[in-house]
Amino acid sequence: MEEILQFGIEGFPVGCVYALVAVGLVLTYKTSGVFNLAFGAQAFLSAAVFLELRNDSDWPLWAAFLVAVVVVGPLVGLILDRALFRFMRTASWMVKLATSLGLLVAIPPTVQIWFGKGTRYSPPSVAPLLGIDAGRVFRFGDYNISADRLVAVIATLAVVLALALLFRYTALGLQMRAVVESPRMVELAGVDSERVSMSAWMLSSLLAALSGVLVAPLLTNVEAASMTLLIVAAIAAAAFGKLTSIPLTLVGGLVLGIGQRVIAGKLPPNSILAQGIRPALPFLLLFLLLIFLPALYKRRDVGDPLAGVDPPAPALAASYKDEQLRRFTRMIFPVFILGFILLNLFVLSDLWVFRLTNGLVLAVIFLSITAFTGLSGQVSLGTAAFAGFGAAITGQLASQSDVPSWIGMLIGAAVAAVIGALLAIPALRLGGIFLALATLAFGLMAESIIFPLDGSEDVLGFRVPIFGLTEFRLPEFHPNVFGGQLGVDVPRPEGLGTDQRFFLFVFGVFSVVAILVILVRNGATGRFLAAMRGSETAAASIGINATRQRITVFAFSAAIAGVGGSLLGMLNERSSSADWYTLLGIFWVVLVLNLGVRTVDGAVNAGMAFVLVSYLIEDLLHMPESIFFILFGLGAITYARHPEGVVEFQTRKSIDAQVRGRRSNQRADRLRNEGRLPSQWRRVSTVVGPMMPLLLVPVVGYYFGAQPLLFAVLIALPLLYSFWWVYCCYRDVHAHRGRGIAGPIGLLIDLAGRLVTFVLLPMQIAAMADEDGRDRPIGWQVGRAPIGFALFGLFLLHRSDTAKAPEELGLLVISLVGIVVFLRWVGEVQAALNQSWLDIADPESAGDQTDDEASETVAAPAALAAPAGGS
Amino acid sequence: MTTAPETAVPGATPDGGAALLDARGITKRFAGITALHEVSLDVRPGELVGLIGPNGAGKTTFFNCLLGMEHPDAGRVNFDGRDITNLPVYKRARLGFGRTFQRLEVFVGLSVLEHFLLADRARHGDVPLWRDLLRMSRTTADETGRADAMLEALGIRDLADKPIEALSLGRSRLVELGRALMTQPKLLLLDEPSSGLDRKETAALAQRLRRLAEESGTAVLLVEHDIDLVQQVVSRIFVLDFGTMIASGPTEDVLSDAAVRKAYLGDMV
Repeated sequence: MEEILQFGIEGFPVGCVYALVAVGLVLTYKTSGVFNLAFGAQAFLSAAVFLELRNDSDWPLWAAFLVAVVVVGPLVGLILDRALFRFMRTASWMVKLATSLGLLVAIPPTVQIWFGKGTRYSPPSVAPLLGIDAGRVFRFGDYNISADRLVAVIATLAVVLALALLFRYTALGLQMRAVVESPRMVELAGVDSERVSMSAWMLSSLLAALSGVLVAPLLTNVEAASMTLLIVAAIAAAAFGKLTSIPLTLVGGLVLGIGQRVIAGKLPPNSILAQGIRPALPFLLLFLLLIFLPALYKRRDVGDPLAGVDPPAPALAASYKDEQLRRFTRMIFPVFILGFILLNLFVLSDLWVFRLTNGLVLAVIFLSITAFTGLSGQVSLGTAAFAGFGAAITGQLASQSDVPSWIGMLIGAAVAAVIGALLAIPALRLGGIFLALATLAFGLMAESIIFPLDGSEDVLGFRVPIFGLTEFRLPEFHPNVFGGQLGVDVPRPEGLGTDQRFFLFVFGVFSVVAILVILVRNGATGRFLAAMRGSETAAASIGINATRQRITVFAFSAAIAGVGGSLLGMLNERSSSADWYTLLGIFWVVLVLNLGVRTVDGAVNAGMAFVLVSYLIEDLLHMPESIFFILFGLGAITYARHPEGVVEFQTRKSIDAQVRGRRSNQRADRLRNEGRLPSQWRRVSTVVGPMMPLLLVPVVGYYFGAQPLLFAVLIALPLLYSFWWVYCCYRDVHAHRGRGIAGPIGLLIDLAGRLVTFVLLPMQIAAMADEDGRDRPIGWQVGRAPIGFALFGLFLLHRSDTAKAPEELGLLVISLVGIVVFLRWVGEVQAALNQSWLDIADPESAGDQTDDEASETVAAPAALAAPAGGS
Repeated sequence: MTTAPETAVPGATPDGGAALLDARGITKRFAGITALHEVSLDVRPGELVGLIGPNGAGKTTFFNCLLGMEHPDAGRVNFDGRDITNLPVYKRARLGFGRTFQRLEVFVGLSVLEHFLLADRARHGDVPLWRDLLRMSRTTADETGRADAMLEALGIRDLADKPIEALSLGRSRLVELGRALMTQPKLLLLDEPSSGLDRKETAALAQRLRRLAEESGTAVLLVEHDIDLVQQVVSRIFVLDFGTMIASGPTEDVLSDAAVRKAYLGDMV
């Protein structure tokens, strides 16, 4: 009994810290609707700053504390609100989730790069700030409590009291509570909701910073993993408080902190379960709370009542194609696929085949995200776990029972589907963010307990005392299903061991899975899910059983993840618990969301992007791997602007451009027949054509090495032609405007500040349109791509080994892409100019091809009359 | 003019005919406020019934209890002889409930035709995934035929392939109605269908509802504010005020009742 009390006292302070973060979570959730999963990362940031300033830079304790907690904390919160979440007030929960996940992924590696990698030890104690000696131990009767622990408790109680007073008695507190209900309605009442949210973010970040600094000495180190997991414990505590009650949240944190310590203390010390229970208990508790607490699972994420005024999501890009384009795509697609296969089988090196196979394998895993999130609009963060189940089972069956890999893969998929269904039955009553949290909890449980189990210990082997008289011993249970900590070998299928043959196998599996996903999407399940996405209430009213549909598609997606996982295991010929960590799964989801979650295209792009950017960063740029996570984390933040995914957006833009280009040519033909074609009009293909020899330069360089003379010819002629063309453009524009930058001066600018022309020329064309009173056919934004690429190219040259540069395949591809970007810019500018001249010569037929100002938003073909208006 | 009848036989009405929908003694409390107190209502097969009352009277809450979106704290709801008090929404739909929404609930992103096809398919129950994988769940010619017939009946043939978000409110309401009708409901529950419609559209709606009841024998329960519409359509009215049913009976009787006028109609001549 005394033992338990001692454990309780030890666990109490950690529980307090959990409660602090939890309160911050609830605060931002209540005021901005964002469940900020990145608070753990923010805590980590402040703890790292504190440690750095105090230990490495020898600042006085109070100064380091002040900067780390009172300055850095709220500052980060301010930046997050102003630069990010302010634009997402009425966005869907998925956008908010993707953004906070992106931050979760990006902040820890950023901190690590800034402060140097790895775990930092001996975090300074905060106790001296309260006048308590850091090493002092207090005795209450027979129980001890260290200074750090005591300080954590005191700090938490003070904070909670202050917050309670804030909410109850101040105007700001009341406003904070109102803002979450409806920011727009509150604004109608005259309250500046932006300021309220900003205050809430700064306050919550302060809490996160404080908890980071307080918890560090309790954990004796500062590392990303423990801090990031702090957030899950906080989420569990917040769930305990039903996301509405701060006192209950505090209690939840305490229950968790104490429970962790007590249970860990009662288990045999070095068992996997004991090591796993400490991180796993929050997840378990969160999972159970989400499923069994009616206040949580009945809660519908009530959107802003005025949010209905936002326009609906655009249709899939493919539906914008006209018949000609569709036929073209249908013809080209098999050629492209065949080319890709032949390339891998006969042309590329083994290393490259391995890389591309990796991309394809990831595409299969990502198809599980396409299947679940793309079809149902819900998010699951447990993908890594299901992939791991598939891989481990394939490996176990192969090594223990000699089952052929491909059969093992199918069995693994089936097992994953069953586990998925079992998980789904309770969890899929939840929706939105709560389902995401439940799957996150599941993934983390799998990571810390299920995967590491290796059959060496008795999982249920703790004794339960009954009335102190006797003990109840549960039957022994030695599971070793998923490989344990050492992992398991996963062999490739018989006869398909070489990289090329395995590539074919993977390609085959991918094709089958892709077809299945498309069949489901076009089938009744897909249609029912589409209805549910449109209006779940209405779907139920016509007889659709929403929960069952979601369970089905969740199990389906789990099976696909299992298949993908098996393939990944086979690719690396190994699977261990370290391969399937939850953060990776989160990263995958963020990546696919960003690139495009509704189409197979998006999954393929995501898989290839993962592999190719990895290659770019590690092999070409020689930068640390963490840059990768930072890039994609930051990329997630742009998700808000393109919720349909980057791939969809680009596809739509390019389809739109092609359709417009054809129409423009038709217009020109008509005018030419009438004899009215303006002389400045030039067909785009005749402009871009002579510049295309540039494309040969990298190809020649790759295959034949540097060839100065040939290069000089291949580069000089197109380059001179492009200068001439730019000169003509400036000249024509200047002639029409009567002012602006004249021809020769324009040419000089072009030569001197080549990069400037990329934005300057489009700006001139836009200005010309403004002066004529026409719609702008182009904007300066088209110059971003070539400039960005040029800068990137310079950076690349700086970082890579220029000696062997021409032979490096990656550089070849990148140079080709860069040249294509340039040619595309040329095409866009010429098209805009053509449109301008045609509109000037023939104003009546203008207007059916204008580009929106930034060419970023392309309107859907149907008229968007809001349902609340007239006919 | 009578108050809500208490009959001995569940499901039976004073005339002896079996009720299609029979809600008795529905009580619902929200955090200390009693939104509904012992409210009862019945609808016979093929009958057109109205539910009116001031704002805040509890109409929406009662409606939600009938539909399964809320669970009453006390009372029972019987439909076609079955106790459906605790049945989830989608199951009630499959038993024969159809409904429209006060705030438009359409399947954004789908076309009008797809709305109808979905409703037709959904009423048969869950579709197993394997059928999709074997391409066995495609839209049949029969289904397209029925959907076309519905489009024709509502006079919106030309809108078949238009995305729903491109339609005006009046037209969207029609689509909602058609969607509900595609499930071949025995009882159609309409939640303030006239809100946002102009006089012409409301009159057209009234006509449509009357014809519907005549031709297909579908019963209708109409929750409404527009007294004109109610008068034109329903044969019996229930009046709810402050959570209790203050009147029920044939339309004209109720509308001329003094208590009803005082509470709701405002002492008109």
